[in-house]
Amino acid sequence: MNDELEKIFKKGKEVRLNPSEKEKMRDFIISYARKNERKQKLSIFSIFKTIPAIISIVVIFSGIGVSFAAERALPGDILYPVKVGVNEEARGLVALSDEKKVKWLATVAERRIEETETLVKENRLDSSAKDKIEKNFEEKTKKIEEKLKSIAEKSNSVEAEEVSRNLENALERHEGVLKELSEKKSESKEEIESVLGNVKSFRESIRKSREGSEKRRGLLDVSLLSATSSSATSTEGEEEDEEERD
Amino acid sequence: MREEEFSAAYESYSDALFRHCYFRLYDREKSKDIVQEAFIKTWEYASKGTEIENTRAFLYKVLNNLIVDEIRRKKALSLEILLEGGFQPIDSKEGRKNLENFSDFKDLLKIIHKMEESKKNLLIMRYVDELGPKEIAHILGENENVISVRLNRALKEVKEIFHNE
Repeated sequence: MNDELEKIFKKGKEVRLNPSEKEKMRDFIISYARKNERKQKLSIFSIFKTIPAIISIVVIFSGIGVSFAAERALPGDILYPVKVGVNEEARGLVALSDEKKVKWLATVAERRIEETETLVKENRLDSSAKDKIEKNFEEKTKKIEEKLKSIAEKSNSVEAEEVSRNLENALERHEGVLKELSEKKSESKEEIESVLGNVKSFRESIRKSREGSEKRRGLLDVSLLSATSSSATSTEGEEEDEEERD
Repeated sequence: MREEEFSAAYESYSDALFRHCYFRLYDREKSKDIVQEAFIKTWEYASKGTEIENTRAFLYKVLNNLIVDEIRRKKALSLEILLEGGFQPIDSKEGRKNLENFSDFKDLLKIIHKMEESKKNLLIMRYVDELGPKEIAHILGENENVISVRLNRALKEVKEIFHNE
């Protein structure tokens, strides 16, 4: 392209909107854009976009159904892993305080024993079911002991003792049931005795630490009582002084 | 497209689009309307959720369609009539500042006006709007080589007219 022609073409560049025209048009199109922003029309595409959302809703709701059904599952059932791995863990997460967590863990530990009892009654307790139960039971009891310790450390030993005491009672009750069952169902005697041994040693362990805590608290309470009573008398004295001044 | 992007596109391209439109139609008021319409149509398209890859090219495409519609609707007046009727190629205030260049403008407009519509469009896109052949090809939905060939021919024609003046 020759220079002269190019120069002339460049002149064309001087054609432009003047500032006020430009501003007026800007105002118009921007306000139009704001008014008409993303009017989500229900097109085929938007339906496609919502499909993942629909699927996840279906999964969640059917998931609730599954986990609900899983609640009654026993070791060896298809849904048992959902009960132990999903439902119980989820409820454990929902429990926020140590007190609530330990109560839930105690319930779970008890559930394992109840499962053993049901399996025995249904003649389904084999070594693999027993292993599953014992493994989970051991996990839970460890956590229970940790939590009880941490509750007691946070100077809430009364609460820890109460939880422990309730659990001990429940465990004792189950021990009785298991003993009875092992006598009745001799074919799964070995498995029952093994579970029973775990229950017993766990109960012993928490009983010991509860009794220790009660003893320490007994001493602590005495000193606390004396401290409060002395301060109580001193305030009374002050009040008397005031009365006298009046 | 978000509002900021749209606003930025307006700042960047409105003058060029207006200029392009102006050289196609020789009608300042009409050109303003068409540029505004092109921005609105682009926003409407974008707000349906469709991604616009190249905003500038898309705006030119919309603008070009609007211009073609306008030309069809109302055959452009001859340049002679326009010039006689106090036609102002540039905004009056700015234009008067450098009147000496005005003759060049007339030359340019005369040349462009003698071209057929498709060549006129190509030349404006290439030398006034300064779009690359690739972008022009994209806007017109043509092959880049085809555009280069057509541009060369149009340019040759311009030179002939220019030297014959």
